[in-house]
Amino acid sequence: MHVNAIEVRNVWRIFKSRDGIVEALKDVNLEVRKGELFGLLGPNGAGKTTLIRILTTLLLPTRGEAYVLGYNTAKEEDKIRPLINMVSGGEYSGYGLLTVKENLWMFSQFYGIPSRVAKGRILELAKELKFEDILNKKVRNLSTGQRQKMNIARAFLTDPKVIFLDEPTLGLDVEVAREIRSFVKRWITEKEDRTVVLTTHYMHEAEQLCDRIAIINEGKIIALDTAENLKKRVSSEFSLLLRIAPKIDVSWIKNIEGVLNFISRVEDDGLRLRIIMEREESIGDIVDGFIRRGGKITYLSKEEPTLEDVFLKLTGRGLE
Amino acid sequence: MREHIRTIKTAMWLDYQITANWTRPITFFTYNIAKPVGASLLLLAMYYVVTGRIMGTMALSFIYVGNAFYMILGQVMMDLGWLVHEDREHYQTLKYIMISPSSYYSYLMGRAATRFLLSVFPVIFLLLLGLLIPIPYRFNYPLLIFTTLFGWIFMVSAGLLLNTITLLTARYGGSIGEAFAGLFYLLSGVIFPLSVLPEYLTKFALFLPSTYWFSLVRRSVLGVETDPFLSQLSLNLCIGLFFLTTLCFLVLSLAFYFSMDYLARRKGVLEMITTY
Repeated sequence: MHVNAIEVRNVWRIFKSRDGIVEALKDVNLEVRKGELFGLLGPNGAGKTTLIRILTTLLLPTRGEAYVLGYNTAKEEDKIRPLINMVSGGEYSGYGLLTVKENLWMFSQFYGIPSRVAKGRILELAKELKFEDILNKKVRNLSTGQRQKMNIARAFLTDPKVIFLDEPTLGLDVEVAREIRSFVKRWITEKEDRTVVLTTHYMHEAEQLCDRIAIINEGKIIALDTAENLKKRVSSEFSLLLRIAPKIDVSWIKNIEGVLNFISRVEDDGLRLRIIMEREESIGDIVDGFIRRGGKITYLSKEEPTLEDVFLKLTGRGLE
Repeated sequence: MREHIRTIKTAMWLDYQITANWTRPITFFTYNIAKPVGASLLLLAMYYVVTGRIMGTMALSFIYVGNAFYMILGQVMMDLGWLVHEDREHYQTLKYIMISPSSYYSYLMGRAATRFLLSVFPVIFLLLLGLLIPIPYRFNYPLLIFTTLFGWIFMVSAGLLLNTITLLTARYGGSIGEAFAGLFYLLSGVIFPLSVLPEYLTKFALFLPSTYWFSLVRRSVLGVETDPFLSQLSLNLCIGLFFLTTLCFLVLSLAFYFSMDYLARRKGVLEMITTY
């Protein structure tokens, strides 16, 4: 019996097109245990979705092998498909001329769920995810949040052993995103053998939900541990958040002693900076540096380390 | 087998909803009949302009019956050309169907079945309308039922061949469907006998199930094959060749399906968005 729900061994995925060659995954190795809520955290283009596509049998790896519940994703897709399901965020999937209930019922039929059982499950899920009022509404008339709730229900309706949630809360308002997160958390605790793989670039989502988190960047897994242990990697450090006006050169910051890494984002009237530091004494040097260069500090705050700081320390870039 | 039948039934239901759910059933069925009837009347007008007469010739019967039944083939081909692209790019459901335990092949068979059935209604109406022309019908009902049902298998195979190609293409699905439909129109003796084609095209036409299908249609509706070339074939031989070429098409479409499915997964195009 396999202890791991997922095993990824030396997986590479290379896309070739007229525009050039893209190495989306580079020698990825990963194990996800059964019963785990596993997070893949990384910025856009890091390779999260490519890995999910391979695990859901939609894409073949260029090299290496991936297994879901002991079955090879490239050769045994027929054995994997009845056991999995997936949801992608930020898309508008669904047949607009069908009602929500019809859409869900139709997908249940592709999984061989008896019609009466499927209808019962649809009602249960609608109640849990709070969308009973739209069951008879045509999909074309749904809001983004309502459509995503329907898609979440579509995937959970089949009671999969492993479910892949690819940015499931992308673009949703705070309340809907919170409802979906609570639902996922409840679902996985109901049965021991259920496994969830969640990709996200929202660090709070990964931190709140996941038992373990793999941080992925430019196609490589650069860290894998619990959120707590990952944060311990930067426990002796802190982050300094600043807003500066106007936009000025900030490349000099990296030369200040005690600065480990930083990112800057351009805003309307200046810059927003996040600096990972290990020496409090250096804060004065930074403030002084801005004043000497004609920058005005409009906001300054010292914060405890987050997963984003771990990511920043490891890669030198932000998550969003 | 139960799983395949369930998938086919669900896909048929879905296709009917997508095709007809935009209006009331009566409006839909009127529209469904009006379109092909319009096309047939246009053909009659053209025939009248060219020959100066309209009634009772065997040539007109050949054209009228061939054209009426081509409505089924043309409609199925053209509609199926868009199907993969619609699911993949417009509804964005292709990947969710693909990762389900159901066979996508069965799903496509179901979708094609509805298109086929919906195209049969206008043909019945056109045959009734033919009584007014009048077309000299001599129906062979068992042969007509066999021809129609087996025609479904041929059209599904051809449609699936087309669909599996569009798994890999960007935005030309509809054009491929029209090209397929045009090919069958030109090479299958729909409105003119095969003997008017250059010899190499006539030989090529002998490999197409549609050639024998239209011949069987004429034999079952008009009681006679008037194409000088195809009339040399006995009924049994014609049925045998139709059966054989359809089987080849079915095997070819299955082989294509598995190859294209593999290629689509290797290239990573099952979620490709290019059109919408």
